[in-house]
Amino acid sequence: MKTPKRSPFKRWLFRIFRKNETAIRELNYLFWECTWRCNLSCRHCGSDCQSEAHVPDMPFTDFLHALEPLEKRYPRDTVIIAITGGEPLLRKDLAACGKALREHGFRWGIVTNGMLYDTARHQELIAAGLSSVTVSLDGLEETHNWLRGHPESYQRAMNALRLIAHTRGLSYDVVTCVHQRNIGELAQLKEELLANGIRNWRLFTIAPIGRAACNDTLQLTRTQLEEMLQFIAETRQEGRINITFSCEAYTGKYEEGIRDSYFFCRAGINIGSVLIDGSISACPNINRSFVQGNIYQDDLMEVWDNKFQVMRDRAWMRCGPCAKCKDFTQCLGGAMHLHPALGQPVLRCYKFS
Amino acid sequence: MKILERIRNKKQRILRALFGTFSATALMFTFQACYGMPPGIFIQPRGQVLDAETGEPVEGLEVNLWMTPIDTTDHEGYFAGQYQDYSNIEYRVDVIDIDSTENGLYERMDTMIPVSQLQDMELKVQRIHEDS
Repeated sequence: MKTPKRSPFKRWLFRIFRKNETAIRELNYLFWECTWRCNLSCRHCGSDCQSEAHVPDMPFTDFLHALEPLEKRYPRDTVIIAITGGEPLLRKDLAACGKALREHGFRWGIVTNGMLYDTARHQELIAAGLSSVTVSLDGLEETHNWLRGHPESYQRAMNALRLIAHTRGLSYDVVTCVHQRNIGELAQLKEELLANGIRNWRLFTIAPIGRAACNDTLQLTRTQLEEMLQFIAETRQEGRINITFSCEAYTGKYEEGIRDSYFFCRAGINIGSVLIDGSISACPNINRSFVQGNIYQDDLMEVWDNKFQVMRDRAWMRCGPCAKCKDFTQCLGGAMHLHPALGQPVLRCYKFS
Repeated sequence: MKILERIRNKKQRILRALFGTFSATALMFTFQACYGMPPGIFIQPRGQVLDAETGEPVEGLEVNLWMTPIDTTDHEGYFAGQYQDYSNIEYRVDVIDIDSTENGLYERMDTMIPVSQLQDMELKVQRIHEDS
């Protein structure tokens, strides 16, 4: 398969755009890690969640209080709250939280494994103003159930997806963690999704973090990684399903063919998070050593305005395999979550020349 | 210092607006955290409503997408608005006469518009003649 042609001019323009967006640094995507409880025990969990978490759920009033300066700063509907966990549906007050967020002018969505997502819950969440959902589906039935450690997890996720995909006006996508066991199933899975009316599909790989750090069989080999990128590029050309590669890494020659825009890790630039213990950071899968503050001691917007330098100036990432890479100006060291600590090189490079 | 900062901020906003205009797409500004859910895309439907018989623009009609009011046509029949949704390939558009006889009386019109034509719609509405 021919890869799409590189466009040096577009890449140059993109770098100016990225620099400008970094300088503006609008916080418009905020994760809320509302619980560490989970009803599955997935082999690849980036958060290493437990069925009975040792950290209690964050009271919603604490989170809402932390949002006050954000509400004052930005116009209504310009900030989206991504409610994640753990499994957010384990919180019985989820719809009430969502409704209150809408009343305060925030859009909100959830990332879920779909286990508890039935018709009644769907209607309850829609009535509370849910605007976006992501459901995980990690392969065909046998593979998904193996990875998720539950015999019904595939069917339940698929049921959830059917409900979601047929609801007008609700943004959604399916995410698939591609690993050694499901790389050969992608074509079949695509047909399965299409047959169920599901049209938005995002693939990502499993980073060697959390529980997956101890499981080598989950990481794709270099050849498999390229196979996956080619699959995405070919499927995009087919145009039957909206498929993208997650914004987790710069891919070199594949950049023009696998996403709607170039790789841009917006952690700390547009993306922030309030973690389960009140820590303020960017994406929840970023190493906790990058925490910038805590809502129980600090004002969220003061932290956003005055900290996060480590994510906005990424010159420190130019080490290890990135030290002499000629694509560094385009890549900027890959995604934040692929760096285990400040000053440490990227865990994995996805570039193909 | 504050003046310099204000100038810098203005420059950044202008540059952003230029990118938005010349890229002719919202995609650059819509993003998704790699482990998060999609933020949704605001589509920007716009177009003109014309009288089906005379071809003249019609003022004061409400244009709806999936029954959500988007805008009311101006004196040249133009409308423009925002709508958050990216999961459809076709959109239902309703045009409703909300000012009664003030700018002429028009029949309610509904039609399906492909997503590719949402930013340049030409909608024709049928006038109700008082003598009919």
